[in-house]
Amino acid sequence: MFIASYSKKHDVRHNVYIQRMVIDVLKPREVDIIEFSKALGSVDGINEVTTSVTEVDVKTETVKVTVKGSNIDFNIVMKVIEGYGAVIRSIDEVSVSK
Amino acid sequence: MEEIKSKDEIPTPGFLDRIRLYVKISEVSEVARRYFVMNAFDGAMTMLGVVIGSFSVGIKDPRLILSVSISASLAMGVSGFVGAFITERAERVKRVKELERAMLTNLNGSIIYKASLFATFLSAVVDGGSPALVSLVSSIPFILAIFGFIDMLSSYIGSIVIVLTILMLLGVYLGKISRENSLKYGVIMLISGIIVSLFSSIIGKI
Repeated sequence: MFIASYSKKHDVRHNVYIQRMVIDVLKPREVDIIEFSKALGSVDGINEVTTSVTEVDVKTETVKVTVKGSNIDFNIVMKVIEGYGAVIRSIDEVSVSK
Repeated sequence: MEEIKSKDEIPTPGFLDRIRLYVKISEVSEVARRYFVMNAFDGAMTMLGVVIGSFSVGIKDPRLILSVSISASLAMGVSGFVGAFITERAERVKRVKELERAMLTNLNGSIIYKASLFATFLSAVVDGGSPALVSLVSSIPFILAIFGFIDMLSSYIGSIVIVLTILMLLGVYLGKISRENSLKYGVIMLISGIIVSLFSSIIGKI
């Protein structure tokens, strides 16, 4: 209880922003990476998206998505990715700054 | 950290962009095109049979032919819509399920799922709509005859000309798609129309 209220008041993490992420994503082949990247790029707080295909399968593609921005909200990024029928396999890199 | 943003802040494309995206993802345009030509052809042929059959047995009442063609177009429309909806849905659901298996995830609510629903609906509308539309258009001369704008013989001729023109145009359209000789396709369609006309008139004479 104490820890929870303490960490809420004094949590220094509240002004740490995600500025870069590298995400490993598995997506259906029907979804092309242009649409996919544009959708991610239109999220608030994201300024740049780079998507590169790393593996091609019969029905799916594995892509490496690099998002850069001033304040990336990972929840929104996740929802956009899932909205395109894709799944996050792993988060490979994260850069945060104050 | 900022408050977690509400769901509204997920950027969603506008209506037309979404439709464009669904068409692209589901690759429905090819299927819809095929359904359109196939069923418009069906509709045109049915009408040709009805019109020439009626002519050869000497029906003089345009209302009779109109009611036959409207019920035929309704029947073709409903059968096309329901048939295509069920078939296309089964195919699309199969595809989504296969993809789900490949990705080990649930795609309900994703763009893939929505695109497949859209494709199912669009195919059904095209499949039901095209024969209904063609047969309604080719019965226009009989409507004119009911109101006394043209006589019965002209309405027969008008309807046959409309059907044959539609057949020819469908052929030309196919020729355009395949980037081959449009005229060749048009003539093939026209000849099939003429064969149906001959058969219908012979059957009518028996």
